[in-house]
Amino acid sequence: MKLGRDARDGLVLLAAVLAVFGAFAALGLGTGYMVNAGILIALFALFSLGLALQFGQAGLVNFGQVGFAAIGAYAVGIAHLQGWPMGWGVLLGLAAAALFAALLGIPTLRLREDYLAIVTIGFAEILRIVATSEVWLTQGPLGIRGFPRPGLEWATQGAWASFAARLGANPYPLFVLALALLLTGLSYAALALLVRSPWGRVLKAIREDEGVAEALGKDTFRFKLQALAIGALPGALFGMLFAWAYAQVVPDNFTTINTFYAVIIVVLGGLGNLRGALAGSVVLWGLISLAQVVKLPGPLAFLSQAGPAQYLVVGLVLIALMMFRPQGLVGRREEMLFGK
Amino acid sequence: MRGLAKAFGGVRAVDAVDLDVGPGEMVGLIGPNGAGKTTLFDLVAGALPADAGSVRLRGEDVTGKPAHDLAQRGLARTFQIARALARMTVLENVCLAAPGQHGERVLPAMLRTWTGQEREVEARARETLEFLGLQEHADAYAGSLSGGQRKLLELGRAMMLKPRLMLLDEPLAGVNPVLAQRILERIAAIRALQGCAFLVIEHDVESVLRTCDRVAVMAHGKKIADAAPDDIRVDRSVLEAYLGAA
Ligand SMILES: Nc1ncnc2c1ncn2[C@@H]1O[C@H](COP(=O)(O)OP(=O)(O)OP(=O)(O)O)[C@@H](O)[C@H]1O
Ligand SMILES: [Mg+2]
Repeated sequence: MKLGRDARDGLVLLAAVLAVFGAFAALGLGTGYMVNAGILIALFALFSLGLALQFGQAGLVNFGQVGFAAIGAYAVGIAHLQGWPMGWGVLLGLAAAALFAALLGIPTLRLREDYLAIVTIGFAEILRIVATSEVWLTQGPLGIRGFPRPGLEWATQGAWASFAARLGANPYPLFVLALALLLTGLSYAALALLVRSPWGRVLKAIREDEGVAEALGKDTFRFKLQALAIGALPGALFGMLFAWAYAQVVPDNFTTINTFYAVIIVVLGGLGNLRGALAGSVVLWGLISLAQVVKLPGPLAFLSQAGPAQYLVVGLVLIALMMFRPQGLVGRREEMLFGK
Repeated sequence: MRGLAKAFGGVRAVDAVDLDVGPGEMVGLIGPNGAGKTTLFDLVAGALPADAGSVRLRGEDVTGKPAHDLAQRGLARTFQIARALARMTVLENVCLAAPGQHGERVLPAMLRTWTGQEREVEARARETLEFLGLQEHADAYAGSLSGGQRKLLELGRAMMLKPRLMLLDEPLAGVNPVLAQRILERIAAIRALQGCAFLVIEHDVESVLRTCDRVAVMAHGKKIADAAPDDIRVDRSVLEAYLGAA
């Protein structure tokens, strides 16, 4: 039987989710642990969708995605400090992320592609340093707390609370999980519409050969700028959700390692296919969550003791997966043949 | 174009070249390897900035305009080494080139108001592929095409632009003779139908002399001759340039 691509990708995603959560269940982990792992999976899928658009479709190397997350998180935090309503913070965060993306893109997108990589990584680091040192605005390393979180009252009483109780989960984390899944789903749907349009076709052409796209009348600078700005939006959304999930906005949450998690996710999931961000996040955060609790037997026990060793195991599994499926979990094998 | 010039370091790749292509005219551009023909195309099409000189397209000064702007104004160019968009299908390669696509704007793209136009674009793209004999490969990745097929794909993309002037860089190189003949016929058909003008670089001098209205010859970055095919045949400086005696 030959499955369509949609069905095949859906099955891979479902299999990954079942494998990860089945493993949680087999290890006897409770609903609380699963909800927390689910939040990380959904959040990083959202975060990585931006890169899947920028890098996977347009070939733009944005190493500063975490900077856009910081913008989103600090927008809701600062809005609270200023006494503005939460909705303003959300709008401010999205607008600022798109604006900063444009500011980074305008000087670099006409240059060779490596400039964007350098400038975005610098931007994210600078933002974190500014957030640490400009105490008057951000409250510095201590961060911002006590800001309103959406649905907090609604979720902790009434029907949702009893629903959560029946599952054995805390009501608010369960609510955040639902919200994260919803926003990830909506962002995926919106980006999928874009990718499957003539606009998306131009992005792919730019990735393949920008000179050809130009020669065919496409103003590639405009398309690249749009891709950069649009891809920054899920990054900012991630930052907001992260703030709401953990009730804090601190600079240390926005280190560059998070951007590289997203890079791992899109490569692991499969470049060139937005669904790679979803599948990749399930596997990466599933593995990390498992590595934190699995006790390896016998002489391998030391690997499950300390934090760095746990990551070593994650790394080894990732390497094995990439050897087994170099095109990524939902990538197209044929596309590997014609890579640059 | 007037006084076009471009140097790469010490090499004067294109040195003060003047050249005109009239509406619907077919001009051949020949010359030994390294004469500066491709560089001249890059200057005209806006792929490289010129050091000096100017380009006019349909009466308008377009010097220094970006390549995409020139393409939108009716200038199509193909590349000497065919540049297929490898990880896109052949059909996508050709559809991409259609001008004025509504769905290339972000909002319409999301609202899917472009599907009607897309059906027309796809129909025209399939027609173009059929003409070039590539219809069986429509859904294959362009990266899987052979060298000659890629040249045809380049031509197909250029045709989709419905240009006023096509710059073809060695369109027949690596194409089998039967197909080469077909391409020449098609070029003639496009000329007759759309009144499109052509500037064609080609090393197959005989084909050029047979099909072009006028032939320009370049050597060492300079234009050394520009005349009717019959006059080119007997031009001494051209012979010398080709025999390396110049
Ligand atoms: N990007 C570049 N950098 C440096 N030198 C270049 C570049 N492009 C072309 N040249 C030089 O400019 C000169 C003209 O090259 P061009 O490609 O225009 O020749 P051509 O007439 O198209 O030759 P051919 O028939 O072999 O395609 C050559 O001496 C070449 O070495
Ligand atoms: Mg050449």
